[in-house]
Amino acid sequence: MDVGYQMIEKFRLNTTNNSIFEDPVLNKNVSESNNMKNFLKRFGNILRDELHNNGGDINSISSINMGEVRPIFNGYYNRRRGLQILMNDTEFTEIELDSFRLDAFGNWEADVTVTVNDHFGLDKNDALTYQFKHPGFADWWLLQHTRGFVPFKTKAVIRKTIKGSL
Amino acid sequence: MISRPLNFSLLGLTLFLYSCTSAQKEITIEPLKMLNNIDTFMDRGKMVISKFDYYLISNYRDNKRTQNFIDSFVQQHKDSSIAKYSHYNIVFYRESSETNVKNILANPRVIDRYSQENDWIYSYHFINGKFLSRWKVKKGEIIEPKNNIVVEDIKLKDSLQR
Repeated sequence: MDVGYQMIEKFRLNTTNNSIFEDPVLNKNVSESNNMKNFLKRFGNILRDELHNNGGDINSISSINMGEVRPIFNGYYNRRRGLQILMNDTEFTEIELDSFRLDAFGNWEADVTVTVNDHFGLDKNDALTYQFKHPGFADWWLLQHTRGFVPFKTKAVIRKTIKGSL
Repeated sequence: MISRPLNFSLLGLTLFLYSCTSAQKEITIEPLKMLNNIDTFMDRGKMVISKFDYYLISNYRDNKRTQNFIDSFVQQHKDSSIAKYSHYNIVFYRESSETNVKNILANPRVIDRYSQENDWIYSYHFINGKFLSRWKVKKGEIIEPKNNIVVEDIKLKDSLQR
């Protein structure tokens, strides 16, 4: 069954805000999205700056805060793969360091697990912005806000290697 | 025979007028206080405080003079309590038809959905009060310092692939 239909079905039957939706196809599409790669490149740039500042010592770097920067799945690829309608703007993303290697020439590699968290809900801003693109957006908002259908959490988990040099 | 010099004269006059007009439009920087935020969390038993300040630049031009102007602006306007923040970031966007005070107030998400990819131009990063880096950004890509970051799929070890 397509991921989109699975999510619609989950929305239809869901009863709690804490329910989580995960799917390997969704993970794969998120992993292949350029928006995701660009987000991780930005993270990699901060990591590089901090490594440079700490002489390459990964253990002396505290958690990295990306601020307002987060993956947003818009544009042609994400529209074609369904990521724009199913996720679009995301809530928050966690990046965990699994392993780190630094060679004698200052080249480093970090294996990371990335968890993108989203909320399958449509707020007033979304509804006002997108209602003219398709009548389904207004229906979606009405289902959630006036008919008691409960949005769930969407989670996409991917693993990547980020490479750079000091 | 006389049309060519006339054309050149007109072109010269146009360029002169354009440069006069352009010169009058001075770069201005205004704070986007509605976006500023402080984030705190515990990391290995230590409190980490990150602060983000945002500014909007009108009449931005991509040249050395503007960069120097922004550099000195950062020196003058960085938070006076900068040393108390583990991370302190100053982010600049250029003003556009989408990225402007009116739009941001109406819908702050314009920053994420448009400005990050189109109008983000500089970020300055400090750690524990010390300058760390300045990024110059174009179309969402960090162009200075030269970007050597590569993101790729994890290569499974031989034993795992078998």
